[in-house]
Amino acid sequence: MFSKVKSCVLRGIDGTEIVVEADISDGLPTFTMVGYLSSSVKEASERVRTALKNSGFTFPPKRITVNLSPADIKKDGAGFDLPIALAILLSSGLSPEVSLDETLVLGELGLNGDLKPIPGVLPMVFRAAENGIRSCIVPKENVEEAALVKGLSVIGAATLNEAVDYISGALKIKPVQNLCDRLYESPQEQKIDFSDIHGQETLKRGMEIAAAGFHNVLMTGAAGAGKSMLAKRLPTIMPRLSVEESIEVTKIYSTLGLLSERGALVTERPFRSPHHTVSSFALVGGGVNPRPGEVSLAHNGVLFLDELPEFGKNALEVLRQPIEDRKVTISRVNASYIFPADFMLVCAMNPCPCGHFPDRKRCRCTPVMIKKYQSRVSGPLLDRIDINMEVKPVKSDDIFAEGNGERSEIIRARVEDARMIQKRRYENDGIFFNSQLEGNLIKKYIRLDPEEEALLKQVFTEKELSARGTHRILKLSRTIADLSGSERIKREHLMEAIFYRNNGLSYEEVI
Amino acid sequence: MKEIMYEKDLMALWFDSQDEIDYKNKAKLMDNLGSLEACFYAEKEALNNLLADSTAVKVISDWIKKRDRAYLEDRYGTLRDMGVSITYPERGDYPRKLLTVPSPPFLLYMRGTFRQSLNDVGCTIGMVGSRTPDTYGREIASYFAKELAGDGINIVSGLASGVDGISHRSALSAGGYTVGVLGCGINVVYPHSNIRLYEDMAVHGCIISEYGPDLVPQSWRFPARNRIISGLSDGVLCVQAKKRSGSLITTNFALEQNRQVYAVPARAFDLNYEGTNNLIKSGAFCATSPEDIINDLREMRGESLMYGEKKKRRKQSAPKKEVTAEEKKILSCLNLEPCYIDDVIAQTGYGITQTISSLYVMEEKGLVKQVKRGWYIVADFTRGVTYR
Repeated sequence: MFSKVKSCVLRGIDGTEIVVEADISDGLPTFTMVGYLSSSVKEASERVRTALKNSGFTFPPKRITVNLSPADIKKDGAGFDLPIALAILLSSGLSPEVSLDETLVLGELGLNGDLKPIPGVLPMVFRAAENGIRSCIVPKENVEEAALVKGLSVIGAATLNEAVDYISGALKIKPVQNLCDRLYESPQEQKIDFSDIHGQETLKRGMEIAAAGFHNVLMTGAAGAGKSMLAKRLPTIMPRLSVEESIEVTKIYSTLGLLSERGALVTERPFRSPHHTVSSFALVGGGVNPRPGEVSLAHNGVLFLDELPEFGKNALEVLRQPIEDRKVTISRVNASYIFPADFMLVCAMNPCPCGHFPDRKRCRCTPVMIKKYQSRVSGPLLDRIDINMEVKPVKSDDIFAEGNGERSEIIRARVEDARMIQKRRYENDGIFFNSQLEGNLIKKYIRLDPEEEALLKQVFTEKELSARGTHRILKLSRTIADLSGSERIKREHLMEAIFYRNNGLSYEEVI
Repeated sequence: MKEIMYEKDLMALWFDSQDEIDYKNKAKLMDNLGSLEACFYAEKEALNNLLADSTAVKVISDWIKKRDRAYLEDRYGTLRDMGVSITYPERGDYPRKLLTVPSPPFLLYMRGTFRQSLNDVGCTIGMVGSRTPDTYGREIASYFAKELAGDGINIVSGLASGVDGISHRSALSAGGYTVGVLGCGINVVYPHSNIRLYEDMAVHGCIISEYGPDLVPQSWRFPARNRIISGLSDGVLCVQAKKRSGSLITTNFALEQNRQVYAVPARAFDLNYEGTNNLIKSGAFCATSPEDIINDLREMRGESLMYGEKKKRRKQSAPKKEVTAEEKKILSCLNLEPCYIDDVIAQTGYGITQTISSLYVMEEKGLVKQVKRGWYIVADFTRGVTYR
């Protein structure tokens, strides 16, 4: 007898619907699975056979054929265990009147019949919902994640038996639906706050500007001055993720099975801080079955590269394209995958190998050593950084002072205001932030009065700016003006932008 | 006449063509044989006799082989193509002051233009100091070089990084004449980061070396170069020196050569200035302004008011800078120690945007200087600064 169950496979960060077909017929007892299977799927036969036995079913001693269609898509992952088991049970006549045509089934089986969570449930359920499926059976641990998708009732089962009993009607399981809004609204506890940082006023201001306009940041300063501490707190002043953004981010985390760490819905902006030994593939994504890398995990959030010069040259250079395109395209023979990668780049570095320059009392590095160390960061990468800041070593007064800095929520309120201004301004242009302005849009939206224009021209000639450098200053001054609620870019906004953009790295004056 | 000079040039080139023959040996030959010509025409035996105990016979015979005219003309042509000229005591463009010192160089390679003011008609100050000066040292070097050069005093230094480079650069920017003395081959830029300065000096100033093209820098050659720096000068100004600084080699040469030694004082117990302060303790002229040096030079040479007048006139005609109350308050936080903008904000209580734009305007006015990103000092420090 023939039966079929709907399931899904993950390709990149999107699901593709798969139909699991089973047929049981007379003949010598065999169990064959076909359909372009990877070894993790082939091994499902043993898991399914044992799980069925241990759940009290008899594995029919007949000729069993299982096919995963369409046959031209490579099937990967352990999520097919449950659909295969159910398809076999259905075709062996479990309950003839039941049809699973409108239900998506996902789940990995343990040998004792327990259902285990699998990665990528959200994108797979998402795809199924798009294809018109209205219910799904998933492992209990994946229920919340699956229920983020609107208009779909989710059944969570802990064991194979539960799933079977639910299908045959012997067990009632309450479907879970539309969790998205509830999870989004649930308050998030902030463990870290901007007021933890004492002093560093200009640095904090720079961070505020960066958060408001999504500008890339580089902090240079001695070891232990608070660079990482500040970077970690950056997400707390960035505007909250919108629901759509949250889902986008959650999809990526779901794909990599990282959701258990962060709760079913990612509502806080991601903060990724890969170690400097990271390979270029781990950074942008890759692999035989391409998986998103750190840049995609930092989507809509912060990618923090601590100790920037220590990163491999390759790793840094592959960053250039995602910074410009805000996505990563990975091509394979059979398909090409697009991973979103719209992140804010925040980098930190020491000024010299010993980390104490310009404090010449402690730093014994020669000018050549310093230059060599700083030149490990390539010019093109530096050119893409809008805000360059010096981090001063903390003084003892600052460390022991009572926390009197502004709290994150206050800064965030200002940032949100600036963001709303930008959102309204760029409504019809498909961009969200000042930092994303390009070419014609710069001309369209950034206008300087004659006095300010003269100032910029003077800086242009004095500092030998490039065209790109000038544009960066313009975009930055737009953000600063937005933060102060001013429609016009005033003289002081421009000066502040010039102060923060100043990307001359070299300390030793060039003679 | 020209012909004869050409012949002599070739002889001088030959005299310097064998690196193994060092200064001591050359001096021995000169002492014994009397002149360049005599050395050039000396028999092999004569050279052997004089040099045998320190030099291999092979080296001497190699040296003699180079008396070949075609070889020397080729070498001469190569130098000319590089823009390098040579000079030796018999030529008119040899700095006369060098002849008054013990062990003057026999041959100098030169790029750029030689000016007669390097001779007795003009005043020349040698400037030496740390290769990694602190902000005070930088500013002092730059200010003194600018003021002295602006008053027509030549600045001689060693084209190294730090005080040397700053002195040259400042002298050039003040439109003055400056001479760099190298401790390596005339066409070798060391440290390489000075390449722009080197090129500018070759056009607007003068670069001198005792060593022919392509000779790599070696530490033991630099002290020898220092005797030329002090030798070219009427006085040597030491800007920043630690206890055992190489700059002190130059000041020692200066004393040996009967030149004045000037030092700019710094705070007691500052290790970066132990050497300079010790100089003052042992009798160096304590200079707190360029005028001090100019006055001393004038007194020493008994000249009429030749220098310093320009400066006075400039000072009188320069309009007084308008300083607003806000700027005054910011200035009161600053001195010659770099001060981070956060501290300015904390001390003045002004907002960040306001402080940044004020500092920007003040930088334009020449009141402050941003030495590193976010770090400010007083630019107009001659009006006085206070440390706290």
